[in-house]
Amino acid sequence: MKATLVCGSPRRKTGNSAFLLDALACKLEGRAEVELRHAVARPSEENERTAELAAASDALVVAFPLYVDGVPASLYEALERIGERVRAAGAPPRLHLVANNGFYDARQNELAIEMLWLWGDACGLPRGRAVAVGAGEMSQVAPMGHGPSKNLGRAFDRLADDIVAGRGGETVFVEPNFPRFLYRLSAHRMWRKQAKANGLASCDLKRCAPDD
Amino acid sequence: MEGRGRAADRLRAFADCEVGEACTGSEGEAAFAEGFGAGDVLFSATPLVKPCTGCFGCWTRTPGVCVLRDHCTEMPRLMARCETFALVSPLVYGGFSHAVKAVLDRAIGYVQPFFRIVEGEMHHVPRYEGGFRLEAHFYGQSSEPERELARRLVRANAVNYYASAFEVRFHENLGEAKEALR
Repeated sequence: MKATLVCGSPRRKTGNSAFLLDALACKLEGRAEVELRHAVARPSEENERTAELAAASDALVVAFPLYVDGVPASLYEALERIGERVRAAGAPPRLHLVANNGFYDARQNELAIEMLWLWGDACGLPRGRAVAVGAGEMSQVAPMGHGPSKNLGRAFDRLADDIVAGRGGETVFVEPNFPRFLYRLSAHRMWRKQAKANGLASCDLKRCAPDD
Repeated sequence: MEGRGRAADRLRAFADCEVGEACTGSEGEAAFAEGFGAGDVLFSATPLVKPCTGCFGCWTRTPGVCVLRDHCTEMPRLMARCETFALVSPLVYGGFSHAVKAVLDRAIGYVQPFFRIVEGEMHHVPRYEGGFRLEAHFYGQSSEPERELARRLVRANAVNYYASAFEVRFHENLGEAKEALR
């Protein structure tokens, strides 16, 4: 069976969405023919090709980071192209979703997932499985399925099985095997480290934008 | 944190217009702008602003200001100065259009990168005191499931952007949405 995995993150290969799709592709090895694509913000040959591949697939997986409770605006163009092609396809692929957010709470991805289900419904795509990954910034700290990513590994095993079996179900919400308060402290440490690298003090991060 | 002591602007972002209408550029904006007051700031979401690249520059490089240069660079600061932030957008699968969402994505410098827990959920720490009233005016054909999703979305946006209040309305077309704003 053929699966097209579309990364909807502007960070492309360096972001968490791409990492999650790479991990998913590993789990699909030997079970599906996988194409990994990156959404481009503006009209492009790349998006046209992605749409062609999606229309010829049995499964379409869209992965994206949560931006302001929704999908990044930069993903819309690719979704439109895909929508046009899959509507015309004889056997549209089943749609699966992977959302990840910077907040710890995986539930905050729920609205974006529902928006994409509505998009998929309008395109005639049967609903598959959605996995919502809280604390997305932690997804790369350990190998999938180990340590803080233990829950994540299990969720992705299930997603891979669902993709191959061509089935859907309730959204799986997964958070790291790591306490929320520690995640918050680690994130704050990361912001301060980035600030320092940019020549700013920690207190500068709180400042208001300067007036004219 | 800075307050909203000075006379605040009313700020609107308006979206790509209905299919067939030439509503981009100064001609469309001028037509839309008729009837608004001197204290109102109209912000056109079209042509598309540069898309957010997820670089965190608005948080850790130039706090509160986007690193991408176009008329959306100052969006977080504009939001800090308004009493009402009104979004006008076609309803697209329960959410905002491409153009309006692109503006919202560029606005996360309005809050700080640091996290806090609000009613059991993680959110960003506010950068500014007080909050604007968030109004979302969606237009075009819509189903009840789409409208219900949009109401939940705007509620979530209001929480994340610390709006003092929010309202969601649905209109037949852009003209009606504009009437509701004035």
